[in-house]
Amino acid sequence: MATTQATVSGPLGHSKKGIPSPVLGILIFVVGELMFFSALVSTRIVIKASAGIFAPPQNVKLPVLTTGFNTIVLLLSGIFMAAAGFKHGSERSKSLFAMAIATGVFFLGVQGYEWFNLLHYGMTMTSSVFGATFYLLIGCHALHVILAVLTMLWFYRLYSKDKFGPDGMLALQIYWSFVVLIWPVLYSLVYF
Amino acid sequence: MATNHAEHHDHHEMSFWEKYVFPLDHKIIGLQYLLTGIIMGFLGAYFSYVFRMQLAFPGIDVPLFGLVTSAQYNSLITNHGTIMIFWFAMPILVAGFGNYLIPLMIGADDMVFPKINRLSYQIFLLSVVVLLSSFFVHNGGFGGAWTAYPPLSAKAEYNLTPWGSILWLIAVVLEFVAFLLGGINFITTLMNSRAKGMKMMDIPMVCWMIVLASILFMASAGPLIAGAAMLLFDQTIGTGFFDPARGGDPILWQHLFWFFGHPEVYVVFLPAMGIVAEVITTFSRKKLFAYKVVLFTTFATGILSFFVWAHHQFIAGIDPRLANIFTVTTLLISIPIAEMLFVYIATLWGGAIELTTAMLFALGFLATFLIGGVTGVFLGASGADIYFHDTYFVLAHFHYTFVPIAVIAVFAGLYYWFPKMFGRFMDETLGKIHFWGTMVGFNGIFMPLFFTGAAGDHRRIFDFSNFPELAVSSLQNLRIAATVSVIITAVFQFVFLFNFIYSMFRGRKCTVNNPWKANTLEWFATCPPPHGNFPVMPEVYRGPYEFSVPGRELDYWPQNEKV
Repeated sequence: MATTQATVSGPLGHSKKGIPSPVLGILIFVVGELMFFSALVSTRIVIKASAGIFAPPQNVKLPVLTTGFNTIVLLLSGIFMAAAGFKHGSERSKSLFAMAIATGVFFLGVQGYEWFNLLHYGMTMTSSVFGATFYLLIGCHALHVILAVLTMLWFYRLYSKDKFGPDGMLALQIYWSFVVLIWPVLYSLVYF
Repeated sequence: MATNHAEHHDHHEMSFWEKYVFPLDHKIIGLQYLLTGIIMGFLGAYFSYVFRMQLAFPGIDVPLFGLVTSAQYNSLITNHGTIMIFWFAMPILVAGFGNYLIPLMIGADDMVFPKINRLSYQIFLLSVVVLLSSFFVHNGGFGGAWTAYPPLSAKAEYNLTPWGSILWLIAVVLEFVAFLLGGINFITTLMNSRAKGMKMMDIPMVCWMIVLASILFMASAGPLIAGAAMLLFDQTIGTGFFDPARGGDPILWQHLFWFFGHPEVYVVFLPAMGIVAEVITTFSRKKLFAYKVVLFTTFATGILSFFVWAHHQFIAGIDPRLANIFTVTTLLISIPIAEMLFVYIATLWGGAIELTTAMLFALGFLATFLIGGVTGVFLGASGADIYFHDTYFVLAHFHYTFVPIAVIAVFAGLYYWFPKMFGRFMDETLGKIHFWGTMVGFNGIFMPLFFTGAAGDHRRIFDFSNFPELAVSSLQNLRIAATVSVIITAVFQFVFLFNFIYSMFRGRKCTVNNPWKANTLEWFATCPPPHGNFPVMPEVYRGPYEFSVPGRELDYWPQNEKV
């Protein structure tokens, strides 16, 4: 990704001030992502307002508490990642990085288990527009978490060989923070 | 990776494969985008020729195509629109010129993320392949209009193209991903790798414009990608996002589409304005009038462009109170655009104008875009739009904006930067023949359509002879005039094609670095620039438009010249 080829200096050496390129690149990307999720949130609100009946199937109860716990796990992951950035380069940072990945994977595991149960009880994308928006919002977020975790694994490998600089770290943190912080918004919107 | 970058500069001999097929060099990637865009442009133009023939001479066996069925007609207009916006205007104006010009004009050796840049073109090429393949699947390419309104686009029993619609949607999303990657590069490069001494207000206008266009694209593409995901689910697994019978909302798609779609107009408009700014300053030997005004006006346009989208939906069933608000914002946005045109005219005022082909096209852009802008005012007013909506008046209006943007301004840019790109000049005589043919032909196509539209011609009619009140000979003659003009315009484009290909190999050689005596940094590099662009990385001492400075012997003053 962006962070691996981040150098811009020509032979004379250009100005090095301002925001480092990987960070700027990821910030621009996050703006785009924010608009993407805003559209999903608007979709949910618009369809909820116009649908008439907008609820899960009768026999299905959304796992509000489990997901609440899971939300805390994901927020913890964000904190681990932030802490890993503050201590960049140290052994402590590497283990915090690993914990951030582990909690991210745990989050995905719980999500997957919940989806499995919900689908088992007959709530699918085609069963109603409630199901459709539910899986769309949660699914888009889950895809982001999967891609972010894979990226983190890749960078962890580089980091353990000390090939991952502070700029790349900051860029990764920004992206992971975005993925983590958008979740409570989606959670409160979709589960309540 | 610093090591990677150093290798970059070794100028070791690269194989053909490395240099042209999987290049990291921004110039080659830019040219790949440009040439792909030109090829797609010819394809889109061919589609328009076929359906215009059907409209002028219903039921005719169209030469080079054959009999047009109504299903094919739908597919042709849909893909004409899609190709011309997403695979012609965007790749040429934003990705092609952006990739080629930004690093050269700001004095950098390449983009910040060259590998992402390469990936961007590869994904774009994949999107081209997916789109082209959609023409060959069962029932042919997508036929639900380029705006893809559900339920027409969501249900195969309505659009009759079960596979075409899915492939079309996938191609559009892939293309968006390609431009998102490109956009990140453009913005980061402009911010972080400018030459030493180049301040914000020393950046050539075309670079600003392309980067602002990229910002608009980055901020508006998300909603359409979200909408496309939902539409894809509706098409494939049968969800009900846009199906009112199941609780969905078809207007929601229109909001998501136009929230992207209207800023998209400015995504292609701004780079065209930028190209024209470079050309008119060079060939009138004058400083760009009010650089900062142009820049801040562009910011204003960009921000406003996010608040006008619902003017496409005045008759779609939105709340009339909402329509009033969008009428006001739509009319407001004509102010900064008018201001820019006035500033450009002020730039020309009193200049030593040299009518090269590039300059002719730049002036042609200003003249024709003006007509497009003025007719837009009628459509922006919700009251008038109730009558004009979906008529040929709308069609003529937006072609009077898009053709100057994507065709005329692009030609200005191609004739202007051709010596830099290929080290040879394009032929000026052929260029002028091409210019006059294009201008006469283009106006001949769309001027009559304003009248047929005002008389009530609906855009989505396959055969007007089915509508007695529209099938009268006075209207049919105007339709035939438009179609004949399409053929005239097309013929003159082959003059361009010949000129372009011939000049690439046999044109007059460009022996100096700066043939037009311009100021910006790309003219400091050789023609064409080598990998790495500059022999010595330039430093910048002044703004990009210092022409005819009093007390100076030469009438131009390159940005990198110390004294």
